[in-house]
Amino acid sequence: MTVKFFAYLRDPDYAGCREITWPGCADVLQLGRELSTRFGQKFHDEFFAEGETELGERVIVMVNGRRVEFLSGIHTPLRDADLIQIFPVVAGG
Amino acid sequence: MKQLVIKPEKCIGCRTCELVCSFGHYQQFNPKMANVTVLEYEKAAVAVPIVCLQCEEPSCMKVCPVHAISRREDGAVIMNYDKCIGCKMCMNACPLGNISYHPSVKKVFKCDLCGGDPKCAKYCPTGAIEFSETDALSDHKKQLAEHYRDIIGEEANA
Amino acid sequence: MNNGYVGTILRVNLKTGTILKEPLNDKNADEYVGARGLGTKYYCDECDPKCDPLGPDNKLIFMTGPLTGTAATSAGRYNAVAKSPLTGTIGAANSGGHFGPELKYAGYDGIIFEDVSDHPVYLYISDDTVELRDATHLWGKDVFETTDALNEECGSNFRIACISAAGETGCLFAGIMNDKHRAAGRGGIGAVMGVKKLKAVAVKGTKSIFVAHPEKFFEVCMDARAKLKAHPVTGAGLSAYGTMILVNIVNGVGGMPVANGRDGACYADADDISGESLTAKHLIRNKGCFGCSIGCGRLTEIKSGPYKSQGEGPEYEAGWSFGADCKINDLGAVCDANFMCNQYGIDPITMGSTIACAMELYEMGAIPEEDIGFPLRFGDAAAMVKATEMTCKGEGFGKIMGLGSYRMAEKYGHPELSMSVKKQEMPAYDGRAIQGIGLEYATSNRGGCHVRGYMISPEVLGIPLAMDPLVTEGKPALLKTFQDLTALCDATGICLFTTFGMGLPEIAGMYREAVGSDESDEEVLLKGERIWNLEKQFNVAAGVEKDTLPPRLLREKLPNGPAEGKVNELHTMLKEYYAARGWDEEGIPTKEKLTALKLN
Repeated sequence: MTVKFFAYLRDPDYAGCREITWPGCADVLQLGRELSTRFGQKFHDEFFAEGETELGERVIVMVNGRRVEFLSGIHTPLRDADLIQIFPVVAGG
Repeated sequence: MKQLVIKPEKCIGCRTCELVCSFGHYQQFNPKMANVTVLEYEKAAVAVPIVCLQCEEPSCMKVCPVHAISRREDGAVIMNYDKCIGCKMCMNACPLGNISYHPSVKKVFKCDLCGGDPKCAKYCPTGAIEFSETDALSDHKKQLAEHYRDIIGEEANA
Repeated sequence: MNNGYVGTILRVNLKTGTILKEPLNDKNADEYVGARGLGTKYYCDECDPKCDPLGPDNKLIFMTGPLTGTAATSAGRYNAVAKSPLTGTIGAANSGGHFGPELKYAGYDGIIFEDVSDHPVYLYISDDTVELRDATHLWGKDVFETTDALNEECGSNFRIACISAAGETGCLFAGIMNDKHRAAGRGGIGAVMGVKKLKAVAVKGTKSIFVAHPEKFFEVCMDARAKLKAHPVTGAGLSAYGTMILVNIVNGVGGMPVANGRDGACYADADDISGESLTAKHLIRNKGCFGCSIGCGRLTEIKSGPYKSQGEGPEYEAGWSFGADCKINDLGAVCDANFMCNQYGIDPITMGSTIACAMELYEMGAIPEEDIGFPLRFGDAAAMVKATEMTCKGEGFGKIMGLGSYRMAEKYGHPELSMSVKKQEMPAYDGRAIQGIGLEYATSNRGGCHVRGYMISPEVLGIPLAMDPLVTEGKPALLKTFQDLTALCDATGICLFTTFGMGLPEIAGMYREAVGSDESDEEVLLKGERIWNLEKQFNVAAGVEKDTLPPRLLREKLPNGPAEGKVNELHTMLKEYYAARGWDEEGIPTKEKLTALKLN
């Protein structure tokens, strides 16, 4: 699957890249854990709320353009062909 | 000793400092009554809050004919309005233009560091004005002065 | 005055040259707050809704709010109000920068311009000294030249609001620019100023603004500022990346229109024109409007190449209109076109969207090449920049584009391909992928517009709560609340962007302590609803067309992306919306509603 990062999540402190190809994992929870292992604690703390029961307050995760809140949240299943986009909360207009 | 330290690289030119200063002293919103003024240098693309630097050897203090200007214990150079005759000599003497006069205040005024907790530094949204210990900052200030003298010098002189 | 207002309205008759200083109408100020609300109230009381927007009977009103120029959050705003020549609706255009506060420091809450002058003039205001001065030497000059010339003439500490040649020669989406880069941009208010032969307003003030409860006011303002600082969006995100940060996320949900909406709403090259790219490659520094703790403004530079330039912006809307909507991934070209819009004082949303519409018409053969003078295809950055320049300068085909996409497309037989509502172009979000914003476009009181009820907040950004962009449930009622709150926010004189990090309690709190009122939050919000209904009442009386969307959004299914197969379900939402508003099925405010709001 393809995972894309945006805004400051591209900084070296977090993902340090725009995009990464990731081998299959079962769901968003597993993906978050695996990416946290790779990118470190700061990424982890941004991605997850405490206890890994839900996403962190400052992050938006989309699977194929749909926020996971409207799918199955942190347990949204993932397939190899999926595009996962990870944004910090942003606004503008 | 603590002093106001300016970081123009952080200034976004919003003039919140002017507002909170005039409010702190007069309970009015009026940038023209503030002891701090943000200068925009358009071509150099910088904004610089100009505040009293509480000079080591204040020209204003030297030139005051009635000795109305003195240095407080915390380093602030302050006005004694019981003595001030409003001659405005200090305004002319300040090389940075940090002493002002306003018709509705009816006296000259300058930064008094808000008695030790300057509002401009407290409420600057970006940290472009800080109130910090001077010793640790002398290098920073020197570098900054040189940097900005170079980039805005031309425009300021024009 | 000690209630946030300064108590005086300037009334300037441009035909006779009479300048009157009249006391602010306190009752109107109480009921309509200020800026957008109070300006509209003055307008509606004094002008015929059927008047010709480009005739002498259309007045032009500059109005600040009770919080403008105070320490409230991001309180640097004023509104320019007139009947819009682009839409025929009430036109209120909102701008930041430093001009609005300066007007209040000079002692005026607002200015009402009546009739037209027989020669170019500008209004000079230095506290109590107010004069109409000859502006023949400024006529034809662009915004930057005019501002520099007036700063030379009046003094460098004057704040200038002005128009350029685009406004003088009747470009229907010319705005009024202040502090060079800030725009009362939408609806062609600059063309109204041009018809009046009013080139500029130059103002300097040395007076104070007093509020009712100073200590308490300062406290609630600083608390609100602390809240904005602590919020990830208003405290960090907006200042780090500016509004262009939206490019990737809106595109991410498949909601950024591509090629005039013809090719759907997923732009493959979005990242090339994103806030991330702008920040990495072109940002010089952030810039804040008056009293703003957010600082979303960008000072940017294209350092080399054909589009070498420097200026402010672009904002997300311009990034989209010149970028994805014209299928252009060259950020340099996008910035250059946007800088030109600032320099010539025109609305980049309508400009880019009009070019995109022209591109579609050209590609389908509806606009012959000889009319344009060169091929105008999607993806051709040089052609896009050239088309912008021609419109800014009113040259050749630029004159036709200067009428906006609706009138242009109508001339070539395809008005349905204008992506506009009430003849004003919709901004950078596709109403098929994001249902609620479609309803906002359809019902906005000034035509296609996102900042009357920014549904992108809940539908894409998850602020204050996440709503599924693909569904319609709950949207009409929420939109109504957003629209009322926005009207209130605009009327107080603070920036709408503050509402990403705070809400009604903070706005109402600052308002109460400034004006000295003890109204509840709900009572304060009711003023927003009153403003909304007043605007609607005007539009009904003016005979503005009914609330709808371009057929493309209603019938052409999105061809790709997360919202593939979707159209906007306006019909369903509109009914609920009118019910939530207490209007009849045709969308006309009922007698009961108007009575409840003290509007008849």
